[in-house]
Amino acid sequence: MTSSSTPGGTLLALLPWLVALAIAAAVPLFLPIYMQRVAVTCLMFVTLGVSWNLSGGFAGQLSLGQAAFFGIGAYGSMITAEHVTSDLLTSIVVGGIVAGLCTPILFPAFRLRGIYLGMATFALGESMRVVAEKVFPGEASGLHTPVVFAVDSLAPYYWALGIAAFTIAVGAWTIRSRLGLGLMTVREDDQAARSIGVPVALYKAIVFAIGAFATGLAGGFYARYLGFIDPHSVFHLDHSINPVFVTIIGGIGTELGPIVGAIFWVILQEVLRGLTDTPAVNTIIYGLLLLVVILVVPRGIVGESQAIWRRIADRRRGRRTGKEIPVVAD
Amino acid sequence: MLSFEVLGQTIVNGIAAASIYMMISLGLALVFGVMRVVNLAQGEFMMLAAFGSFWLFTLYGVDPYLSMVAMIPASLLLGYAVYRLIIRRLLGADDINQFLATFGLALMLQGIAQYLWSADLRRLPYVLPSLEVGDVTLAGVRVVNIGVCLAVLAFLAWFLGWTGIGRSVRATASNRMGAMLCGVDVRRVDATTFLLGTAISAVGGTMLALVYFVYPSVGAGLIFKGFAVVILGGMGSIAGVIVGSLVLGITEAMVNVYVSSQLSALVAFAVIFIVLVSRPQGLFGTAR
Amino acid sequence: MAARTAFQNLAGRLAIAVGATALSLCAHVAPAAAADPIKVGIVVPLSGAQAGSGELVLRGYRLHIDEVNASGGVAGRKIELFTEDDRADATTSTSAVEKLISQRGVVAILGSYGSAPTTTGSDVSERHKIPYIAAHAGELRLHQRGLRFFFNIHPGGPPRDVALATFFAEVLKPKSVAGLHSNQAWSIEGMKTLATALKEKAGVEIRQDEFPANTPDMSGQLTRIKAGKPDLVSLYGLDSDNATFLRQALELGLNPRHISVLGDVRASKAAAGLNFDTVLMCDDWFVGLPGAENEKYERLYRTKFPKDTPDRFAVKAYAAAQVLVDALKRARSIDGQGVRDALSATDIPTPVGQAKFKEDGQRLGTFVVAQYQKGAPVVVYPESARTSDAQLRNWRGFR
Repeated sequence: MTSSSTPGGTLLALLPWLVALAIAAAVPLFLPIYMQRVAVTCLMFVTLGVSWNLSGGFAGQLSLGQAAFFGIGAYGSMITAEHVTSDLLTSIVVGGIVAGLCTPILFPAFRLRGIYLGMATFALGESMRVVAEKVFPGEASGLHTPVVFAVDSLAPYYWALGIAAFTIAVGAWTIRSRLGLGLMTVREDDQAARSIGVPVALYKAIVFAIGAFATGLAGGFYARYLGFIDPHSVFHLDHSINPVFVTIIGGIGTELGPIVGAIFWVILQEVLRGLTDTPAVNTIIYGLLLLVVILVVPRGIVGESQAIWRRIADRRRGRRTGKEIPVVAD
Repeated sequence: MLSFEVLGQTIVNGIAAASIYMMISLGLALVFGVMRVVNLAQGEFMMLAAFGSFWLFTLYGVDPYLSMVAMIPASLLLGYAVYRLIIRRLLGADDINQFLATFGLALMLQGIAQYLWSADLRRLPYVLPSLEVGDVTLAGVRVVNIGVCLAVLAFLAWFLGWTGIGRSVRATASNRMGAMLCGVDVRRVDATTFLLGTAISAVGGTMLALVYFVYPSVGAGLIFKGFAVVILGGMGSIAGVIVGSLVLGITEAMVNVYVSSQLSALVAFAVIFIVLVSRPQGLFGTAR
Repeated sequence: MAARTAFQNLAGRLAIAVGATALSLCAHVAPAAAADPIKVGIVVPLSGAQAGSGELVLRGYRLHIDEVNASGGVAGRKIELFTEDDRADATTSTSAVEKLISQRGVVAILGSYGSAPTTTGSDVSERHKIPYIAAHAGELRLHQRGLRFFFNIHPGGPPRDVALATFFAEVLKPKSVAGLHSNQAWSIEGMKTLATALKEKAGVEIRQDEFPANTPDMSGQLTRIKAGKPDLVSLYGLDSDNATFLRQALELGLNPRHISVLGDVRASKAAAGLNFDTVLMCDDWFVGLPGAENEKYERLYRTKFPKDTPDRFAVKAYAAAQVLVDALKRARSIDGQGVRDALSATDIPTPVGQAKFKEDGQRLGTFVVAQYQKGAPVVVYPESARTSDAQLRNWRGFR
């Protein structure tokens, strides 16, 4: 997507996003209550996936510890709700900010790359869970606050949509800014990036902080939405793995990837639930999907579609100009 | 509280745990050392072997130490299929892709085990008499486990040091390109290494079944201990695995008894984080 | 042939799934005709570490509902069950309950295994004004939330802890006691109540130790306990924890004069091969508990599942289902409010004792202490329910 600098051009580039937002806003009006709940889960996956994709996809920094920020956000908002103010917006934003402020726990790991960074962040995420279980003793003695949303309220959906839209917008801005360009250089070769004057550590810190903030918002919202959290559920490894999973399925390093991946996975899960009551099947499909996507279509749904589209477009262009452009396999 | 008996018992507990950690870490380290692939499904090979021994004992009364041997050919078949279909395609792939593909495989195997045998925690009811040394009690199966572990190490030392293919494995691990240039068939070395790792995990699976529970996600819990050991010892170093397992096992046992049982779960993660950040090459690795 | 059936099964399910989705898209649910089945939802863990217990809970619910349906149902209407898996997880439980209520249109929920999923699940059903009946959740806080649609077959921790402390003080008279509890809230609460009660009654302190629930390894805790040479060890954990404890106690040579656990030590598959004789247990039900209702239940269970011994998971679920069916029979109207009002006036005999709920929805119940003797549990306390004397000799371990 190329955006021109004229105001009209910017508006034109924004148009598809605004249409998508309008459709997303209208969707719950046609959904039964249960499907609204599923849609909320889907939007949470979108938020987590998009924020992970910034660091993991565009900057190439494999982080497997997002659950730490999700959990911190959840506890931040619940503690605020219990002791300071039960205002929804305040408590959720506090959750996001607290999570963002915890980014420095990642700083020591910044010199690591690839699998080593993955393991270090993973260890960090799991450590946070163990520490939380110690600090908030009793596996099930989580925090409980009065439920905020009425049972047939559309509010949770719009909260989740708002957080997802905010994350997508921040992400879109990030990858189009100098910061984004710098990060993509880091992904290709961080030595080279450093040599052309990209402040690598600073940029990493900023992109991880953005991710932590968005993940914290999601955690904060989740906590208030559920009205009950315990260390086991909010620091769960799932919150580290799912964002990676939906991004890989959808297409890593593409803007639409995590969104498409999240929608695809949530719908597939619901269909599976209707087909079988054996939960193990779900696990098998999850694993199989991951394996097949990586071995067969590593670019994911969006990446692969784009590649096919480009090939078709190239061929058409070739036909118009009367000569064949050879398709180069990559 | 700080009596000699408690200290002795704690160290013995730690060594018993280390013998299991060693089985999973050897597989991880061998495969990583030669192929630079981190195989997250290593724990699932152990889990499947544990189930194999469990069912052989429960249904047919086969002695677990017999099934320990019987599990090796079975695991080689599975290992070869996994190597051909998945691992070979991941050579040289992105770190993220290696990680997630083997993670996918791990989940799939867990799902299959759960589908077939449910998520119940099961116990292999096999006992050997305990030994009393002063006030320290040595559980029979744990003592035998330690013995099996030593036998595996001896075999590995012989294989890597005194056989032709073993020497090729070492050569490939230290310099893949160089080995290739000297005419080493690295594909054969890859397959051999992977199968060796699988077989060791299969032996470890039976050891596991004798002291822990058998259930589909038992390997997933252990793989992280394996990471900690391999990182501590230096990725890909066999000597590192031995020392790393002992350090992790004994430290966990000490923290458990003298500090807090909850915090002992933190030891492995702390080791991963601190070692990676401060000394990424581990105790026995060389700086890269 | 088998493949064909499997395919038909799959196609049928697909049709149901599509149909259910289409149905749920219609905002209005048609008023139920008299012969329509009464829809009841079940939420239990069918995957994850608690799946084994969850399946037995499900078995108990089904056992009674099948029995009722076979004899004509409730006022000519059959009961239709819808089951969801919640992995004993707080989050999954909310969407499972939501789905059952808003998509399936159930009039009551038969609940999960464990306090965390029960907390969040009952929150959701409360908002929908649909009764939630729990069978296996003992945490104190569940009943401090002021819910009106929440009922619990579990009589709660304190009566159990006090009964156990009284038994310790009056019968065992221990000089030195070690307590070992899991890191779950119910377990921490329970051990605290036990310690306070024992201090009061016998003046003995409990040295407490903690372990993570479902741990495969307690050797550290047991090493520490062994060094203190207690003559009673009291364990508060899940069924798999009981098995881990006994096995490792044996391996490490920890053999106090008395061992006490909660629930039935044999309940978990993890306990295979152990000899439990002389181990003490505390619960509100044991296999072979005297009483007409329980004898009837155990007969039914053994006819249906000839290979299995009646267990504590299924029986409490069976009692919960009995309570629900009784309420459905008495309800003024078959909807959330009608069933709730009928439930609050419950007073029927069940295999686990009389079912009668307090104002906060918790069943009033009494606990007994049992001991394994010659391979089967016998009640040794209190005096009124006793079928045999407690044997005061050390545990022997494996068969």
